[in-house]
Amino acid sequence: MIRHLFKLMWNRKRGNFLMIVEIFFSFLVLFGVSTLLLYFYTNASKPLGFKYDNVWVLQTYSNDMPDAERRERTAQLLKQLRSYPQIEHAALAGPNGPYTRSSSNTELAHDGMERTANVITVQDNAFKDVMGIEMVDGRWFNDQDAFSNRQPIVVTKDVEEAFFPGESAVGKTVMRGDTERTIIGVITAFKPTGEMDDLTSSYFERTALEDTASRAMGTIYIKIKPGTNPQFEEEVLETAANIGTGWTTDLQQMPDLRRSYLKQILIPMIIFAIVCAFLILNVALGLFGVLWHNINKRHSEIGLRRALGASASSVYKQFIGEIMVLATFGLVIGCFFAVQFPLLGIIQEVPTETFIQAILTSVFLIYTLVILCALYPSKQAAAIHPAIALHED
Amino acid sequence: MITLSNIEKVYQTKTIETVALQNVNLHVPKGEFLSIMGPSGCGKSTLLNTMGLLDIPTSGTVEIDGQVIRTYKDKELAHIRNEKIGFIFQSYHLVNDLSVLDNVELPLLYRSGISASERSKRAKLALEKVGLSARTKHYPNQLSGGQRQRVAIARALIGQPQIILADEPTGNLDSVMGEEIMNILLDLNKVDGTTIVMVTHDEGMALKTERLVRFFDGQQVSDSKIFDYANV
Repeated sequence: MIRHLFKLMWNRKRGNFLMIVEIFFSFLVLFGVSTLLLYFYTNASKPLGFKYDNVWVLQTYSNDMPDAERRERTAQLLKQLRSYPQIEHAALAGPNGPYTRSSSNTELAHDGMERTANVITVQDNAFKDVMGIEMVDGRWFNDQDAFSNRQPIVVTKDVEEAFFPGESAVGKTVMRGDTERTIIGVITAFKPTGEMDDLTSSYFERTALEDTASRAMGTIYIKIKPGTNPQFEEEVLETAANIGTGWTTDLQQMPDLRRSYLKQILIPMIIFAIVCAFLILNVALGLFGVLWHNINKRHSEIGLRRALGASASSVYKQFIGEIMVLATFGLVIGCFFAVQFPLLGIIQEVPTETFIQAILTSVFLIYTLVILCALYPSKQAAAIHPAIALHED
Repeated sequence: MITLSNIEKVYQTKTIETVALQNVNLHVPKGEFLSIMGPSGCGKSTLLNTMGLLDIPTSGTVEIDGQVIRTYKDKELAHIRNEKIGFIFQSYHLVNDLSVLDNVELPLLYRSGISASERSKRAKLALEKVGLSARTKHYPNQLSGGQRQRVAIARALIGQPQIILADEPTGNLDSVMGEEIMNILLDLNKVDGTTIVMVTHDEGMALKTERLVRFFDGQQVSDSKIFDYANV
């Protein structure tokens, strides 16, 4: 019967051309949306590696202040902040923390292999505690690391797995440009830009605020005790303004930064998905109408098949089968185009598995859609009285 | 072979009740070639549909090959139609998007355990029987009316049914073509012993059969043997 249906549908390909085209385009749109959703879902399901709750980010801009004075006042501000009972930890680090929409990507290399990673410079040892980072192997920085000739770094687990599969990276060296870095610790993860992004690799390097050879950082990450009054924010800003006279300061809560980051990604995605849903709804209505029309045109054929030995359920299955065959024609063409994405590496950020999953999801959804659209018209076809249908011709 | 007992068929709409068949009692023995005549709307086609299990009578029983049909379910009726009955229609009812060979194969699609090659082999044999071996790859719209009806006969034959129900098989054909089709049917009846029930408006064709039953207003008004059948 399957062979018969393929033959029948192939012979009717001209009449069904528009339906095949409709299925083909629906598949492409679904493939696009599925790829996007799966890409973000896959990214979001990878471990974040830090905790954003009760973390505040205080950015300070010192404008024309001399470097030595800036370093001194920053140290003073840190000391003052750490003295507040509402603050658990405060860490001085680079501005490219999570959800800040800035990243500093560099290439780490080892044994001919390269990996892009975000580097965050920390200027004390508190960043791990502020962000709730968990060590897997080795240790976090201490004060000596800032002046060590070994250029110590702490890397994420995926960097270790990429460069040293099956073995510990602690004590081993990797290259950043022409300089060697020694790995002293491995952390579970640290998604540098946020959960939706595909960049999972990060590493940390330690400099000292008092070391004039390295750039002074101006971002303070503060871990607030749970239940702290929100008005404490004003006190922090006041402290920063008093110590850093003439500084421009900006205090943001990391959960707010995260919300804004998610909005930026999710809103276009939701709009795209809604547009897609409307498109698919239109296609579904179109398919339903075309099927209904086709079945009405084929009453005598239905009557004939019933006379030749088809039961009502055979007719029902035949019409479902026909639409599935039609969908297969559209999907074969669609899949041909879809597989070009992973084959030609058109969007390199999206891994091949995501494309394959998106193709399978779209194929499944299209088959489900066409079956749903065909259920009622097919049921109507099956209910046609054979004697009446034969008489209609 | 076919026995109709006290058949009544009433078509009911909200406003009108139409009696299509009334108190029909008819027995068609195995191997008989019976023709049914009567004016348009007298219930001939309804009778044929009832015999072919395409329509359920309002009352009365249909017996096919000793089996009382009244209680059968849709699947069982479809199975009996497929195994025991072949249909030939005035307007051929060929599927235009299928080749001649595929059209003839259709009944076997609803029969389990027959491979594609077997279907094709049997379809070719059936087409050979009606003299259309050279047209297997043609499509219905490339054939003449007579050829189309021969395809329809081949389709009716392929399942080797015991009964053929023909609803005005020569109705759309000119006299020469009609004669050709009639000869094929007569041959089937005489050589293969197939029971044939044919509805016709053509007295000449009817007189070539063994028995003629006339209908009027849903009722059987005459039933006569045609004695010169053997000389046809």
